[in-house]
Amino acid sequence: MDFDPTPYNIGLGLKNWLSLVGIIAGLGILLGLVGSFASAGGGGGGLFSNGISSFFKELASISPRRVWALASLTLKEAWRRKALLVFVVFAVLLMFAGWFLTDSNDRSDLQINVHITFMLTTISWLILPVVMFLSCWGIPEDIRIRSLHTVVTKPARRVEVVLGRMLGFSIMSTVILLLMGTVGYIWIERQAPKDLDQGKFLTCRVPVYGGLFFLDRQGMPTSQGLNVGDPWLYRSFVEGNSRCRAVWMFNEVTPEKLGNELRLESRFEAFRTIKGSADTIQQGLEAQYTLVKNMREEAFSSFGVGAGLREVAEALRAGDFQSAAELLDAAAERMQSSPADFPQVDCQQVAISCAVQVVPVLRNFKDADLGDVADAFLVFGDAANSVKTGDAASYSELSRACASLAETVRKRADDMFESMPKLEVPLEPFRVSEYHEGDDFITYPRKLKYVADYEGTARFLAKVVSGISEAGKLADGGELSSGLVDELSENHGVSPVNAELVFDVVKSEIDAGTLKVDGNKVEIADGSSWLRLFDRLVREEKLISRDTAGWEMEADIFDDLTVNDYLRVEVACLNDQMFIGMARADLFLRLPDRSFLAGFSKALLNIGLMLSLVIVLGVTASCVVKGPVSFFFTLTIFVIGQFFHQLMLKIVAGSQEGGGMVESAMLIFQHRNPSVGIDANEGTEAVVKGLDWGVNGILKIASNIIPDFSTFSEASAYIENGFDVPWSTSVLPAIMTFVGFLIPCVIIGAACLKFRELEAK
Amino acid sequence: MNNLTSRQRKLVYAGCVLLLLIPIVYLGAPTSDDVIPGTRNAVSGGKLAQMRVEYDLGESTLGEIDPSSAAMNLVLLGLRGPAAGVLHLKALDYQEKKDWAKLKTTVDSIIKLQPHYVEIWKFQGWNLAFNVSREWDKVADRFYWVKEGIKFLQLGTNRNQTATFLYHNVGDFMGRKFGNSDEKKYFRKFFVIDPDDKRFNGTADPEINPQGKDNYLVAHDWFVDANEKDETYRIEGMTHVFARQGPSRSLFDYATAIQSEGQFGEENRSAWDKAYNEWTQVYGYDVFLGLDDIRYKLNSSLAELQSMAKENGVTVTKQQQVWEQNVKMVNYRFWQNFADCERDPLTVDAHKAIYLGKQAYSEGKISNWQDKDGKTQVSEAQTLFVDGLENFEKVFGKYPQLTDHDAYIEEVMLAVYYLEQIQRNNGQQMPEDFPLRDMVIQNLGRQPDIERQFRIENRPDF
Repeated sequence: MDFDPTPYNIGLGLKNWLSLVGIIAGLGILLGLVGSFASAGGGGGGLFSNGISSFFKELASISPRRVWALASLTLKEAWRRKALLVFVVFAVLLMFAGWFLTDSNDRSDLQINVHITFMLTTISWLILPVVMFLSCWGIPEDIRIRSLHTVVTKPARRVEVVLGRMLGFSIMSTVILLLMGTVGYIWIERQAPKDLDQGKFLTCRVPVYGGLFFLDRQGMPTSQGLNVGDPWLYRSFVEGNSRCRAVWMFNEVTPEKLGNELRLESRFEAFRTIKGSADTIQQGLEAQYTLVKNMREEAFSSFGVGAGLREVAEALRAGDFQSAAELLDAAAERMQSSPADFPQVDCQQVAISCAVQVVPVLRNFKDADLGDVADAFLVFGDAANSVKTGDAASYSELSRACASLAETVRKRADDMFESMPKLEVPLEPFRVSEYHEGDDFITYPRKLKYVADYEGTARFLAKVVSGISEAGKLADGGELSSGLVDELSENHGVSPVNAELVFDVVKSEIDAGTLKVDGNKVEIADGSSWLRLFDRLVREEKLISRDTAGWEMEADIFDDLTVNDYLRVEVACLNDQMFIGMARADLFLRLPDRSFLAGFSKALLNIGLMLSLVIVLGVTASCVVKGPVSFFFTLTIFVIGQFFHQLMLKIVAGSQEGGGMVESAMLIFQHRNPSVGIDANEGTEAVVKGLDWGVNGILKIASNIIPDFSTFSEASAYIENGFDVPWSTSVLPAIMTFVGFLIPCVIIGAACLKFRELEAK
Repeated sequence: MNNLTSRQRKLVYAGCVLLLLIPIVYLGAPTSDDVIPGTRNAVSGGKLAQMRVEYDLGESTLGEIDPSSAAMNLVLLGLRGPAAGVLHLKALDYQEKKDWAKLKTTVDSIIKLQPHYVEIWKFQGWNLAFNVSREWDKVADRFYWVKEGIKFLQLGTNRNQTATFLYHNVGDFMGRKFGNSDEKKYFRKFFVIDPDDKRFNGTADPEINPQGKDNYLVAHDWFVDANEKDETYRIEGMTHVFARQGPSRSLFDYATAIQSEGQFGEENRSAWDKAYNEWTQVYGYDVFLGLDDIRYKLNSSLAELQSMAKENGVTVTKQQQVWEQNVKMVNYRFWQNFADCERDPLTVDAHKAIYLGKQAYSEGKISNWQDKDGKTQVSEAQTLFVDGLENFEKVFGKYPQLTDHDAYIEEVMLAVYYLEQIQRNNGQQMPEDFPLRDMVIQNLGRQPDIERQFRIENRPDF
């Protein structure tokens, strides 16, 4: 399934809607004025204002009782016209559907997908023609047989007639929909193969999607992964056994939302460049999640684009701030001597990185006050922003800012290292099951055991040993306390052999004078931090684990691995010369499942909204033109909205291959490929582009006026694939689209019915 | 105006109705017998019914009728063409977007609309078995989609019993896709023991392999069916003399496959024997049309050539020329000699020794050792390779026409390369007079390929 669920932006939607409705209202008023003056000459103004005021009075005095009375009449009429006969067709289809569907797929999970698709498609496509016919023929038929004349003589407003019709037909379609939905639900339950694990497939998974970006072969962030030549560009790939990663950032990762576990589900795609080992042939490729809390990456991932500052950026990300300061000094000198190493475009990127990422992250630090470092980066970013190619003064300014930044970083190196940890918890590798929806679902407990790397070991030991020292348990009688081993193994989860190792190393440091014993406490002789000491010891490989299991530790997903409730999950492919493809929706946090009925009902709600919108359009059109014209108008709007709306948007945005209408026609005529373009001189090309600009303008208007019916049908795709229909990305846009068209359509329909001559059949 | 009364007029009308009934019954009476699809068996009934059967114009004469397909076509009135077109486009889209469930359902809908459009069966059968299967990563999933493609083609033969090519295709896929692809090691195993334990409980999928046989033997049965169909409905789109090779070639493939899997007993010898007989006694005696419609048999003695020349009304020289041309084209003599050689126990022994030598090599039995008397005993692997090469030397003495057969040359050179590695391991040089030395020297150009093959065979997961 190729969806990319993006939450609906209500604010933007309302803004667009208001501007569009405003334009249409303005045009309507203008046309009304012109018409009034044309028909009544000088008195046109009065005529127009009277008409408008009476119309708005009508709108203000709508009576729900009268609307309901008209809706009841509509229902009775639909009943008389045997609208429910459509149910018979539905029943017949269900009786024989098994012939067409059961033998299509041997695999149960594929079968159930087809059954749900069939049911939802059948329901919507069977009711659609019925509501289209009824809504388009209702009012014209009333006018033809003059039954409307009797209605309008009653104290019923035209707007109430329109609303009554819309409401009546909508109630009718809802009743049919509910009937069909109930039967359909039972049918799906019965059709589900007996051997099927229904709890696994006939359910509604509730996903929480994150944002996705990639790390390239050098470990640098990029928006896209590798392209393996698949014509379908939905997925990007990461290379196995390299620094390539797909990185997901999940928001609101809290125990309140997720409970005391992390449920990750993925559906990646595998791509091989070689046949692979017998193991991977049979079991599939291996992928691995790593939960990462890396404050340096948070702050500096986008810093250092271009060769000039790349080394600085790498040192910052590695936590080697002293080296970073030295590299910044060297860079400051080169900015004067060799400004070409720092092209303007790279400086712009650095400026953006400082403004958007580095400074905000450093300012919002909770663990330490790094305001002065943030200020230095801000000044450096501003200077980078002012750089212009060939302007020596701007490079001098940049150099000064760079040197100042180097000084600040050097001064605060220890604090930065202390407060910007990197914690990586690699999870157990798993096999990519590919296209087996729901198979790659793994639940992790809140507390994760993992083997720490160098930095993790240093930070852990610095924290624990300094704590023991603070508690006065590290020294005893001017010597290192022999109870350290027991303290570490019993209270801090360190294995006895590693506890002995720590004891030995601390003792040797005391002997060497790096540490000094002061009463019951041990202190660093040169006054530096415990973290700096243990970082050195780890790097000097004095703390290599004596336990074969390594430095095994425990991390809490919510307390230790999230930053402001954001969780970073990196995905790697572990097999050499293999690739794993991923799209944003391919990895999600899975909340507790909802019942299939819940998702099915939401899909039905969207179908109901679609049918009601068709009714609204049909009734509105029928207020202006006769039944057949209204029917074909509504049908056309529906077909374009359902099947061609996305195409229209692509053409308008210029992303459709082949260009506009005229250019495409020329390509066909010239038998040329869209990627080559038309064979024409510059003049002709300009004319073609000009004509296409005009056509695209019309298309742009059409794409705004014609509803995108695929908004409604997308809900079915979720439930077909075993997902719950999300409120923010599917149900809400459907409701907003419906309401967005309902209001102007009621006004237009009522106005047209009010100002038309009922005798003109 | 006439003077007939009303009753008389009615009688005249009745007479006319009866008269008209005679030609109607003669022409249009339906058949009273069961039509056996794809046989052209004569049936009773009206003239039109008989002609329908004779010219394969009726639905029931083409293949079994699927009620859902008939219902769908009826409901669509005359719109099945556009509907099928739209479905084809959707199928392409689903395939590009890797929505396999919908692809399969859409393909099924297309063939319900156009059940006798043989090209669709051919294309989609291929598409599922070859294109879709390779999109999946795990070998069991790939196997599933190859099966889907073959089942689809099998259904095609059921619906189109006059389409001989589809029968041939089923045989071809059974043999080639399962036995010749990169995953053949697994596919051949899965063909007998399906990986879907839950459904098939450690047996073969009965839809494609009801008797749990080897894939090449099932392919053989389908090729035999194809050749039988070919008697009535001549295969189109293939040179006839090649199309009819299916049964014997699948037996060759079967014998080669079990040999490469280490079966060297009576089963292997008998497989080659059967292949030889099928090639010479069945395929060899098939009558084909050559240049200028001259009939010939591949397995012909001079007397038979003379007799056929007489039948064809051409000179013996012309007959011989046509025969010779086709014998060369299908490499008839080579396959005859090859099968003859392979069924010889001497050749079986040669293959076996080399196979076991490779096994001993992979098990590390390559070092010479001292016995209790202090005498140096050569390693097991070396003994086997030397045996194999000596046997091959004898085989080439007996079948000199096969000394330039690529597979034999490669097997010999690879055995020599193994031997060289064993010698090197024991700190020795290859002796100057090792068996088949001349053959190796003549083919030194193949050495890089041999070394590559050696590396492949000695990968840990080979």
